[in-house]
Amino acid sequence: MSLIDWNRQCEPELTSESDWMNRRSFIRCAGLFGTAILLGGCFPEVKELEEIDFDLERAQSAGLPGPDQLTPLRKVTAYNNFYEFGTGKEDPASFAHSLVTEPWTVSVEGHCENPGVLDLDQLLEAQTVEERIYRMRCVEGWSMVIPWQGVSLGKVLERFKPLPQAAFVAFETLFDPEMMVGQRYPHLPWPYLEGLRMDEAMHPLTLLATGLYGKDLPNQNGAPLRLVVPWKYGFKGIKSIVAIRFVEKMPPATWANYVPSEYGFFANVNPEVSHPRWSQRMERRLGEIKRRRTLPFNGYGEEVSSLYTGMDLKKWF
Amino acid sequence: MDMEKKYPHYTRGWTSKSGSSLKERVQRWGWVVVQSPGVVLGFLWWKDRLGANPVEALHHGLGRWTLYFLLATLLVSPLVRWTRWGFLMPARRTLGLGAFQYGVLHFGLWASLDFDWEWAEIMREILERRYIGWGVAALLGMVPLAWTSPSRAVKLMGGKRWRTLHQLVYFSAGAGSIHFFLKTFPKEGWGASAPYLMVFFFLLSLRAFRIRPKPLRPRA
Repeated sequence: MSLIDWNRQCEPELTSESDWMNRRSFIRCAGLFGTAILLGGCFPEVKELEEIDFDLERAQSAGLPGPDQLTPLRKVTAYNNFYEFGTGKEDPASFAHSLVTEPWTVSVEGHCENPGVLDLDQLLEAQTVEERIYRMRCVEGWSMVIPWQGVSLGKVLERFKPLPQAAFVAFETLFDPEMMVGQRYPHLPWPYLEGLRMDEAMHPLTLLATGLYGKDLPNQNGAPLRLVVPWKYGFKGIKSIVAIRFVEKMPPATWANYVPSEYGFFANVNPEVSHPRWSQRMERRLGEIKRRRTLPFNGYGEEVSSLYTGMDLKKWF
Repeated sequence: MDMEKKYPHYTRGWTSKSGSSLKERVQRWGWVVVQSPGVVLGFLWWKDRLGANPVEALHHGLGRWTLYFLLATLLVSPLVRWTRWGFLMPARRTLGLGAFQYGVLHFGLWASLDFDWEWAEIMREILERRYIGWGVAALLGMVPLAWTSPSRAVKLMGGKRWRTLHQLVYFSAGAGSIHFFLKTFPKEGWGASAPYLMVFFFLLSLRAFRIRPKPLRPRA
C-alpha cells in the first residue's frame, strides 16, 4: 500500500499553490513517489512510464482525458456543494465567509471509553498531518483531484477507545443558521448527518481533512474539519464537523434518508449503479472538455474492495 | 406573406430610403438579437470566464436561451394583437429559428462532449432519463417547423395547413419547460422553473381562448 509510505509530514514551504503546480508535472511527482497513490491501481503498471512522458498540457488543451492532474485551487474553492450556504455551486464561495471556525469544538460521544468535548487542537494533538492527493467524484458526475492535508480518521478514533459494540461512526455538521445562511431554508433536514461503518472509518485511506493546497481548509470546503472518503461520492465527505458518535446501528445519513431511492448509505462510486439524473458511467474532471470513464470505487478498488466482499453493491448502493 | 403587398395602406412608408423593407430590417435586427447571447457565451468561453465548470455553464446557457427564444416566439403574435405593431410579425420566424439553433447546439454539445457521438449511449440516456426524453422531444418537435420556415414552404403547404402544423411550437415550448422543470426541481425546487412554466401556460391560455388570430387591420 504505497499510499501510506508516500505520506509525509506536511512541510510549510511546500504550501503555496504555485509551488504545488511547479512541482513539475504532477504525474512526475506521483511517478516518483509511486503512482499507485494517485492512480489507485486504475492503470496497469506498464503504462506508468508512458504517462510520465505524456504531454499533459497538450492533452488537456486538446480536451483528451489525460491522466490525473491536480485541479487548480481556484476551481476547488469556487465550485462546491455545501447546501448550508445555498444550493448553487458558487453559493458556498459567496456566503461561507460568515462561518467562524475559531474556537471550534468537537463532541465525541457514544460507545467509547474516552468520550468528551475537545477543541480542535486537542482532537488533532499527537496526530501527524499528512498530505494526500485524492480524486473526488461527486454524485453529479463531475470530479476533481485535490491535495488535502489531514489526519488519518482511524488514528483519531483509536484514541477514544471505541467499545466492541460500536459498529458505526456517525458525524454531524454544525447547525447555526446565523453563520450558515442556507440553513435558514429547508433545503435539507438540518443538521447534515453522515456515517461510516467502523471498518470504513478505520481504513487508512479515510482522512479527516484540515486543509488543502497547504492552506487551512477554506470555509466553502468544510472548515475547519471535514471527512474525505475518496472511494465514495463526495456527499459522504461531511463538512464542518462538530460531533462524532460511536453507535451500534447504521446511523441516519442526510441524503440517504432524504431521497432513499437516489442515494444510499454506502454511496461507493459505482459506474454500474445509475442515478435517476446522472449516469455514473462517466464523469467530467473539472478543467477537461470531454468526459472520462468512472472507475469502480473511484479507482481505489485495490485498497477498499475487500471491505465489501459478499455484499451486493447494486442493492447496497 | 409580404406585408407591404397585402396591407399597402398599413405599411406605407415602411420601406427605408436604402430600399430595404421594414420586414427585412425587423428580421435583420431580430437576427442580431438571436445571435448575441451565443456570441456572449462564445466570448466568455474563449476568455475562460464561465466559472469552474465551463462546459456545464455553456451547456446550461444554450439550453436556457433555447427556452427563452421559444417563449419569445410564442409571445410575438399576442403582442402584435395587443399593440397592433404588425411590423413585429416577421420577427416570429427569426426567433423560432433562433430557438431551434440554440436547441441544436444544446443537444450537440451534450452529444459530442459528454458522449462523443456514441449513439448507443445517447439513446440509452434518452430512454432512461425522463428529463432528457422531454428535451429531445422538444427539439424533434422543432425540426418540421424549421424545415417549413421558408416563405416558399407556406405557399407550397397552403396557409391553413402550415398554421396547423406550426401549432406544434406549443408542444415544443411545453416539453422544453417540462425538461427544465424536471432537471431543476430536485435541487432548486419550483423557484427555477416556475417563471417559465407560468409564462408558457399564460401564452398557451391566450392561444386556447382565441382560436383564430384577429386579422391585422389598419388603425381606424
